[in-house]
Amino acid sequence: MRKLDLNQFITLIAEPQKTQLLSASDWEILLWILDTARLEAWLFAQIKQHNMSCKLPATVASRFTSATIYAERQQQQVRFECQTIASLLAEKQIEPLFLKGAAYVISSQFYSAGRVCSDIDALVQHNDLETSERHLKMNMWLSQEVDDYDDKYYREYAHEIPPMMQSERGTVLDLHHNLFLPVSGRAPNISQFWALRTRNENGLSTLKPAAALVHSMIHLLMNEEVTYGLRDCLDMQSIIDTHNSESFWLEVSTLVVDNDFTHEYQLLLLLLDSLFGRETVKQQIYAQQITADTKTRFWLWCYRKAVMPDHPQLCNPYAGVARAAVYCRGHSQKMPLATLLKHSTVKLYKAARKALVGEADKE
Amino acid sequence: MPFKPLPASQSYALLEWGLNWCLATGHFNHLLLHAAVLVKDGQAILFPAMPGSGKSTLTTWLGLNGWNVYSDEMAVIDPDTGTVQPMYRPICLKNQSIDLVRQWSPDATLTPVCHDTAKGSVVHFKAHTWQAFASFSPARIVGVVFPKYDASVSEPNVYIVDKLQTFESFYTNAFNYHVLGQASFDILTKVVNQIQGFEVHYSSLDFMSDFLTDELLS
Repeated sequence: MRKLDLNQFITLIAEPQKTQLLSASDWEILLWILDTARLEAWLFAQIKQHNMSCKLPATVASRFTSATIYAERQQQQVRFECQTIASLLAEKQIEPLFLKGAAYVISSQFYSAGRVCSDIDALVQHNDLETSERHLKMNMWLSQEVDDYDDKYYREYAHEIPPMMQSERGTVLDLHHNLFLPVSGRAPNISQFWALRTRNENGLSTLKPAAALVHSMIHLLMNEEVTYGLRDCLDMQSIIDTHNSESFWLEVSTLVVDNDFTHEYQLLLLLLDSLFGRETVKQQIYAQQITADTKTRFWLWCYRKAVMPDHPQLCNPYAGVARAAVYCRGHSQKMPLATLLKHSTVKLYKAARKALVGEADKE
Repeated sequence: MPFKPLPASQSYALLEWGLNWCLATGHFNHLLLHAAVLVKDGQAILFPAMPGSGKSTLTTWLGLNGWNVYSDEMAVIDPDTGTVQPMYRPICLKNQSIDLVRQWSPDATLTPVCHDTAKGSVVHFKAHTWQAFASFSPARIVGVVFPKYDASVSEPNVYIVDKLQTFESFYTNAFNYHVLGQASFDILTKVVNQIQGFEVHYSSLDFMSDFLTDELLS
């Protein structure tokens, strides 16, 4: 099986204009890998920005057009759903703050061409969580079925409630009250993030770019799940490139220092530099005199491999090891060791029971 | 994982279902309807039908009797022109249809019978050579027929299907209407307004060929 070299893939993502040198067979591999990473429409948007779309082979252009139709339709739906959610919660005087992909789509502060979302993430004040959930349930948003343990996990440990789904349209909403699990002891001071929100021209609230960057960083580097990590890295690089200014970096630094994410922040800048090599990031690494110690170099190696699309035609040696390391690191950061052991034991027991006797009957 | 692993003997069937799945879930340049498409004199008739309605048997018979089989499974509609494009795939025949086709055309190109699939015993029938298929061009849709084979019917029953029902049927049978959104609505409205629709309960394939030619082809 022909494979695309990891460095070549990263170069194509960092410098899309180099795609014009690709052979037909390389294009085929690249498209499969991009599909896995949900980045087809994103790359097409980049190629169009460089006025290179007319040079694409017809079959490649067809695939890109199809992916773009899907992305644009999904963005239309995200805008509609965010308006619907905000209107519903406004009936209870609750303001939702839209996060990550949904925020990039609904706010002109962010670049979102070709961005595909998995679901809608929204933040509400902890005091408003119960009312929000109840009111959404009254209006066709149903909680996805989870067992008693998982329900308890969400409500006691996590920073969000079980996912809700719009019963007619199937849209999934993750309703948060913080940006990271309170049980971890690393949850940020959420009021500081609320203070950095902005009301967009469409009336919907999102985090300001500096806070959005820090949230995306927490999401990528504090969790065990990095399936769409490359997309997250591109989001963050885009925020940096768009908002690169003294005041932006000051807001970022303040949030990072106040919430004790300095190590993650340094790791993020080194990771973005190793992936995309942009001046905007290099300047910060230089200005803040960031250097990588052995531990940081290890995690940099892991994340550089782990965030890459998990596709057999991408030559990414030891990616499994890197993903396993990131998986363990994510879990170890999400909860204290005693809680993690208890949680893992329950999860293992449930998995073993399911393997042996199948799923319990639903009542 | 969209499909569970199947025995090697079912690989042709799995390949066909897999290719259909790839198109249905990942191709948004065209509006895709679950329907057979038969073309004569550059005019296309769509056959959306429920499983068990005899659609594939009818498609094969028409393919053996002068019609061009653009697809047995999926109508690929251009959202700009409303024309339907050919899709080069074999026809999937099931159970009793297999022997019927062997009787109609002893020289027909068929894959070996694949038993015990989710649809029973299946074979794939090559309706056209690649050279013949390559000469097909996009065709204007002139009609839609909802066929229902019923051996107990001595005389065929023909019902007119109004435009609202036709639109509803297209919408129900569309794989990607929800993704194309407004473009889907616009093109289906245009197509529905320019075609005739019938539901036909029949027991004679000769009748169907005559009916299609007389009522739908100009």
